[in-house]
Order: sequence, then structure tokens, then C-alpha cells
Amino acid sequence: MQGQIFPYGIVTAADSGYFDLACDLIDSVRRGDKSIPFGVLDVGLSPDQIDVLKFNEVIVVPAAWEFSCEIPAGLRRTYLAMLSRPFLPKYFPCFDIIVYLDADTWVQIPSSIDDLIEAANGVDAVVAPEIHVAFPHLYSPVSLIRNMHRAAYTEAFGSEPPPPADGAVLNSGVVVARRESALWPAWQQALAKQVRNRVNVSSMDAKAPLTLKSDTNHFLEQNALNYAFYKKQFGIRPVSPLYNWVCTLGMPFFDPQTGLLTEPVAPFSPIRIVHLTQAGRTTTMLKDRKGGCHEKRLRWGDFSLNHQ
Amino acid sequence: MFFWIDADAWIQDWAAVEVYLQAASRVGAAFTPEIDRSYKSFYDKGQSLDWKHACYETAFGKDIADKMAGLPLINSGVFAVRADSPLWSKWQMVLTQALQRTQDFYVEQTALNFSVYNGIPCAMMPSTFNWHCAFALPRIEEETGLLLSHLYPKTRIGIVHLCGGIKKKTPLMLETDAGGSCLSDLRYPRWNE
Repeated sequence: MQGQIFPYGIVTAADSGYFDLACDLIDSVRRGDKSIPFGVLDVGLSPDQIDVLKFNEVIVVPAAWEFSCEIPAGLRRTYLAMLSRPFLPKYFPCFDIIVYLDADTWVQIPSSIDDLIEAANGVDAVVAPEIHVAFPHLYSPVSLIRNMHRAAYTEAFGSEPPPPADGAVLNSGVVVARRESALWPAWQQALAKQVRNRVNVSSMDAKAPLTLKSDTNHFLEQNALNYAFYKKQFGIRPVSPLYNWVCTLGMPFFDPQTGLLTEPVAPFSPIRIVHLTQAGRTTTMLKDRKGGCHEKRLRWGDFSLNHQ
Repeated sequence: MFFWIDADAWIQDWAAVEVYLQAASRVGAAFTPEIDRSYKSFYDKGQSLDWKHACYETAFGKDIADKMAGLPLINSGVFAVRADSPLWSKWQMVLTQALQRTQDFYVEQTALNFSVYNGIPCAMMPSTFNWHCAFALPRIEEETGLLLSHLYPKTRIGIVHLCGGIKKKTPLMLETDAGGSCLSDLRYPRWNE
């Protein structure tokens, strides 16, 4: 594999806690074709886990601190999963098109990857805005999610451009772009600006360290993506949220006939890529379109038998 | 049961009508909010929010406008509502009040939104069931000539709504699903010629 250039590659980031989820993702992507190029950004994997990935011909690259300011003391490596994302072309120069998927996603419909790659043709980036008729937060201007987005964004960038909480928030959990896309430098600069501000604050104020634990820190890299987009520094092709179904925003329905997860409203199209987030990681009652309920875990392992 | 469709809308796929009717028969009412990732209103600098705020403010005053402008606009151009739905009386009452303050072109839609968001159960339909062509032009599927809302995934429009000035803009250059483009007319009698 070394020195080889691939037309595309799937990339994720994982630490030891996300290793199992990353393995699910890899398995769901490669279930039809074991040779699909895959890279994992190592943000805290154990040596054994790295060996397992390499044995399965996954390219593993350690993430590093990418900013000119000094790395804050005590910053957990896990946070590099977010802070390194705009720098993926540097870590994976072997991929012409980078298909980034969060480690807590899995691919339900295999052709989704081909769709995303095709969609990347002629645009800077392919993303799924958090816009769907079934997302309850869109019907509540003061919902927790929208308030959190507003607070985090405004804290980082002020009000120019205005926070996208009343428009389209671009989710950074699925991002597809060519290696030379204008997306990457624009995203890097926006994130660097935020990180510099945070580090300066944290060096003066022990109560405001650069961690991603608080609500306003959680969306650092996503806010940077949105900031650069709304500043018109790159363009997007917005694909359906079915390609990045954020379970926290709306629980899927289950179709007992096909064994597939679907959107929870008509026309009940199958979800392409499931993004578990926190809401999707525990056992839950999934509804079906006829009013039935099904106790399910949303992990790939619980659905993989339906997709052989 | 009533199925309303504006005179500047037309049906490309009857299945959309059936879904409206099923949903309204179950819930009482079915409408389509103007929610779609391709609609330019989601990417502007707040003009859409300001416009909604102005509609609410002229009809109901600033306090209500402040509370409701952030909600997705429910389009009143295509819907299904059961004859016994409480929506009718509420909508009548709210519209009557609003008309005392304004005769704005959108006042009936503004009153509808106020009514629905204040306690009327309603099923929300996908954007393809009332496709707002002024917010996002359709594409043409080369193989069939049908109008598409999106490519990823490829989705056919159920009901085409030629809102606003779009109905007078003809012919229009539309993109195709195969990457080409062609001059086309979105009016029903001519769209597939």
C-alpha cells in the first residue's frame, strides 16, 4: 500500500474508546469489498488496536497538534479528532478524494459511498445540513440544540456572519472533498483563529481551559466549518441528511420487512449513513410506520445480519 | 376531507396526494413546511427570518413575531385537512383577527401558521410534496423527463408549486441529472415537451 495513490479513501478518527465503533464503521463500509481504502487518524489508540487495524490493511496515522500556538497542558489526545479534521489531506496524501465519516457512523446502504464521491465532482465539499422535516428542534426556536449552537457559535465568532442556528447548520460528521479543495485551507484558518483565542483565554483563566467538555467547546471544528462556509470561503453540495442521519436530532424508524432503518416520516426512505451520536448508542424503542415498537440497539453489529 | 392545491401548483406524482390524505385522515391535517436543504432561504443572511418576522408583526404584533419568526413556515398552497378538524374554526378566528390589522397578501398563510403552531395537530410532509420552485429550481431526469428535487439521493417531485414570480419566468434553463442542461417550461402542459 505504501506510496500508492487511491482515487478515494474513507477516513475516520478514533481513540481506544472509539475503537469498537470505528471497527463497526470499517466493517459496514467493507462488507461488499474488502479492498476499499480506509484510513484511521489515531488520537489515542492502544498498540494492540493499531496492530488490528494494520492487519486489516487500514492506514493508521497519528494525529498531531497543528497550530502555531503552544499545545495547552493536559489537552487530551482525543480532542485531536476534532482539531485535526481540517488537516486530513496532510495526514492522508494517498487519497485524492477524502470521505470523512465520524467513528460513530456506519453505512447502511453501501452505494452511499459512491453517491458521495460522485457528488464531490465539481464542488468544494459535500456535507449534509441538519435540515429535515422530521427534526423536532427546527420547530422550536429556543430548543436546547439551537440554543447550544447559537451560544457556541457566537462565543467563537460573534454575530458576523450570524449563527446558522436559524438556517442550515452544516454537520461535520460526514464531509467529502477533494484533496486540493478550497474547503481545507478555509476550514484550517477558521479553526486556527478559534483555537488561538481559546488558548489565550485558557492561559489567563484557569476556569476556561481548552477542553471540549463544555457545551460551547463541543462544536469547535463544526463551528469553524460553518463560519468559513457562511463567509463564502468555499461552496458545498448539500446532500440529504439521510447520508448523515444524526440520531440525536431524530430517532429513525425501523422497517421490519426490510430490516432497515428509515427516516421517521413519509416517504420513509432508508437511511444511508447512520450517525449514532449519544442518542443512538443505547438500546431504544424504535417505532415503525404502522405504529409498532421494536426494542433495538442501533449499532452496526445489531443490523449487519440484515445486510449480508 | 379537503385536499387544497393552489392554482399555480400541479401534480407530477399522485402518490403524494395519497400520502397527504392518509396523514390527514390519521392526524387531522397535513401540510408541508418550507424545509429543505436546497432552499436558498436556509443559507441567506437572515432575510427570510426578517420576512417572516414582518409577516407576523403586521398581523399579530411584535411579541408574537419574536416568538414565531424562528419557526419553519408552513406553506398554505397544498394541504389536506379533515372536514371535522378543529383547524378550520381556529384558522377562521385567527384570520378574522389578523385582517383587522392587515390585508397583507400572505395574511391567510400567516394566520394558518399561527393556528397550527398553537395547538393544532398536524402531520408534516416532505418538501417534495409541495416543491417551492422559487427557492430551488428542479432538475430534469433525462431518461423520463420527470422533474427532480435532488440528486443525492435522486428524488422525484410529487407536487410542483410555481410560487411567486417563477411562473412568469419561462423558458428556464434547468440542469439535468446527467450533468447537462436544457431550456424548459415548468408549466404542466409544456414541461415534458
